[in-house]
Amino acid sequence: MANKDELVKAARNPWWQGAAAVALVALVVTFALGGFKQAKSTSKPLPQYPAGHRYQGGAMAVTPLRAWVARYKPGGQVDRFDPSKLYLVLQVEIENRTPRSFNGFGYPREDVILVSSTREPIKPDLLLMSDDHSVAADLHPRLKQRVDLVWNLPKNYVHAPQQTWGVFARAYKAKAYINDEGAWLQGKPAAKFLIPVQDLRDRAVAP
Amino acid sequence: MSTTTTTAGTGIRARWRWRDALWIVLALIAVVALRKGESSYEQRDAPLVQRASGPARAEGRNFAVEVGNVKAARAYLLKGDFSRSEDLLLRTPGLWLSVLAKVESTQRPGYVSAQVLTRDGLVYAASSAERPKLRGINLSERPVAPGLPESGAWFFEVPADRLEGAHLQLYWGNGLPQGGDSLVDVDLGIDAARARKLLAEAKPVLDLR
Repeated sequence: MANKDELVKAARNPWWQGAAAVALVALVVTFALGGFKQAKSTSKPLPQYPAGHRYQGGAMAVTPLRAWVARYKPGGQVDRFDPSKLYLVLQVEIENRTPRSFNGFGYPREDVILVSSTREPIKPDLLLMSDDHSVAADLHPRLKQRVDLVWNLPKNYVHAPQQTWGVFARAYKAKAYINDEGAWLQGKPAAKFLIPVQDLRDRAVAP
Repeated sequence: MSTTTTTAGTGIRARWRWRDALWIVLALIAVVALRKGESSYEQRDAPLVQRASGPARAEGRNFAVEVGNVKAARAYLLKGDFSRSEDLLLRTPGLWLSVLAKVESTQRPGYVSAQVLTRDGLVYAASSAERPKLRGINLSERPVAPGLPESGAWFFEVPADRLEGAHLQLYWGNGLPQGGDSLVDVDLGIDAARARKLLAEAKPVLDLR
């Protein structure tokens, strides 16, 4: 009972009444201004690049050229022992923007990814030089070199006429490690490539 | 008497605090100065550059190299192999620069790697043994042993406008030389006139079959 008396006494206190009124007004104003609606995302949508448009990051510039699905790897033929194999290929032009050659299997494999239907990044399984179809060699500073990024597709692959790829930012950071060594570190997702995918599944050998 | 002692004692204590603060400030200044003067990781890890006087025999740790002619080409025509029967035209978005050399190890077997340093500080690693695939000619990833010199060429893909002032750099092993290891630097002697000549003489397709 003592507690009830104390509550009644507090409710009659003009200071508490004033505070309650201010809180009520604040609630009403917040509601009226939309303060209880779901907050909008503060992250900006990624820039989208169609085929032939160049994305320039810190370590490399990437221009997506074309994409296709085929039953053979670039420069190869249909596997006689497993003819159901399928490959998705994205051909890109990469310019190394760092001061020294880097491994074609390094930054390009880490940074240029296929975006799955569940928005998961999938790294390419293989990188080949587009000209001689050899395994990706070093990419050299200030040279625009064509590379085929290859993904092995699952058996239940359903052809999509357009596919989304993503590219991560990469920038040089001095003293990147505890021993003060500098390095080109991968950053956040920087851009999306929306590329039509050509269906070459009816071809038996590479064009 | 008692008052005098207290005043004197306080004065001594105050003087000591002032000296302590001075020592601390001097120590902080010394710490900052030493940190500023400290060498960076890149400086500590930098290899020891050994300038070769000319294209004659240059020596580094565990290897010796004689650098020969330099030649440029727009593309190479290569013979097909078991995986590809047709001949292959190997292009480059820049220029193929080949540097003839004779290389040998002096103490133990291993590999000698090469790179080209341009005048503006860009570094071009020698192309791999698969590009161009020229067994017995491409020196990349070619094992060398003491007393058994290997002759051939390193191949580089470089932009056509970066030939002038290029240096060939050589080191022992497949990885970049660690701090203090030798990096032999050979001036290829490509001045403006020679760069123009190399470009003019660069064949659109050099037949290497």
